[in-house]
Amino acid sequence: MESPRGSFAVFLVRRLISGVLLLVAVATATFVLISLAPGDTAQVFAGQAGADPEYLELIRERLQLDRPLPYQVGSYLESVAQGDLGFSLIQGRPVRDAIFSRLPASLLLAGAALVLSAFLGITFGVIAAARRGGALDASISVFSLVAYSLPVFWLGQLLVALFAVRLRWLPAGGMRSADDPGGIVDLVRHLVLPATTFSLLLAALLVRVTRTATAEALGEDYVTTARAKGASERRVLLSHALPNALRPVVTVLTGYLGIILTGAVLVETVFVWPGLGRLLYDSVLSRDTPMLAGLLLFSATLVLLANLLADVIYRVLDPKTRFR
Amino acid sequence: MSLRHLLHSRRFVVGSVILLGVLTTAILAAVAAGDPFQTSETILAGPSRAHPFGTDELGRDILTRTLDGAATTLKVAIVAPLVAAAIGTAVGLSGGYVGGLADEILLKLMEFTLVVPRFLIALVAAAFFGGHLWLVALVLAATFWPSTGRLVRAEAISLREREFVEASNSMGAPSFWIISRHLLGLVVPVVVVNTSFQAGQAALIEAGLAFLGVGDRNVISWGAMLAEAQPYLGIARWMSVFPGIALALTILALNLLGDGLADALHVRWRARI
Repeated sequence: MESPRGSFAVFLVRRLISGVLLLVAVATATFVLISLAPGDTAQVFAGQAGADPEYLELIRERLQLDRPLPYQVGSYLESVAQGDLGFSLIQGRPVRDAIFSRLPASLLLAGAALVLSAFLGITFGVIAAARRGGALDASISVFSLVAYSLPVFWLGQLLVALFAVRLRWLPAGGMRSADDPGGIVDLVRHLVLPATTFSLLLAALLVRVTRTATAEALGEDYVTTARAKGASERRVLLSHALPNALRPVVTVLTGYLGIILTGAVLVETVFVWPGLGRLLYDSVLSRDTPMLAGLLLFSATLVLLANLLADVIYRVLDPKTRFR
Repeated sequence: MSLRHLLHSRRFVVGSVILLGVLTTAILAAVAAGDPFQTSETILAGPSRAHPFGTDELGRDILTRTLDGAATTLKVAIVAPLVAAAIGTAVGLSGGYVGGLADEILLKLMEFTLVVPRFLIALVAAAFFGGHLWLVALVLAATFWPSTGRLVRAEAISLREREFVEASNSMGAPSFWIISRHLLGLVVPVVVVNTSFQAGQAALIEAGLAFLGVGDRNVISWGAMLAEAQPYLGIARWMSVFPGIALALTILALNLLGDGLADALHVRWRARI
């Protein structure tokens, strides 16, 4: 028998290697996609900023665009491996710097939305499971289905129309006011609407996941045993059923952690939030190719890291989990 | 598949009724509605007898445009998941039952499409190649089929061990025959449920792309209408309200349908990301 710690280390290393291979595949696919786009590849790669001939020549040389596609892919991968994601003419700085400068705003929005949705989703999911079949369960599940079907950008617009335009309680967009930059209250006021919009969809999904998993756990033998031993219904629910229902909840939460960048592009566009999603949107509009390629790769990296995190959390939740 | 079971599911019935309404709307709009691109002097006017949904910043009738948008949403919501269902079922069955190369490829592709989020792929593809409606549908189909394939594969693997399949196999039936005669019918429930949820996602993604300005500019899209409404939220709410309701109702209908089907066909509900 291997020691648990040893097998976990082996597991981690394996996952890291397959992760790196996947990233190579993503980078390759991205590059091939770009080279398939209509027009001169160097021009496409420079973005539509009207690059000067010297710069185009530099790109041709570095990516070896005069050689067959496999060589081009090779030189692209080589520069990516060296941490060089290219230079965005439109942003006027290296892609990597642009991404990292937007990261804090994205993390703030995503973090707030994740915490809020985890709280709402798990709470209402457990309530629905405890009262399953009843009126409360029915209303929670109808409400969550409706919330799950709302397009985030439309929900955002409605909230702006109500709370920012009509009631004037909260700012309609941006992250800070011009007259009071740096104030924490100001920041929170800007955060409320985008975080609520973002979290509602995720909370709706979590309600469904939590309800299904908790209801299933409530039918298990150990719950019957706990009941037979005289445990209160509340204790059965919170100490026996819920912990065993958390696994799918973790899957959904970490899944979203990984795609937060793309999930946020619509919300950040509506609320003019200066995060990665907004950067992605601007890059799409200006056909900023190096930026888009960089964001794709960055997003894939986040997803892989989030998956790894999920595996670690499964391990903590259930030490019996076997790693394959 | 028992029709009676389906009709007992309130969600299925409500979803189907809404969806039939949207479908009828799309057909009627194509036949009878006015020109959605017709501009007029009455700009940003609220709902009135002449313009029940109001007009936009170019004086175009929001009602006409909303009706016209139904076809766009439905085309993507129907075509992308159906193409994905066909490919996913074929690859999933052969991969799960026969194993081998098809199985390896399916698993690798599945991993790959899970790593790069679907919306991001569609966004970048639309940005580089122009967001033509059929291109969007095709890209979505390409990102949907591995998820269908994986579910079908799992079913096929568990069915492979069942007695009737082993019996058929021991009597010398070729794999193709076993797959098409025995397995295909048994994986239909999983595929149907997954496909109807994907339809909702496809509608959402099409609208999202159009909202971001990379959709098909030659068709009316509810997402594009919402983007046009954004600067006028303060003075012309109707520009956002009506196309938004239409979009949300359609997606809700597709999700209700998926829920109802899952209940009636006893397919376990799974979280989809």
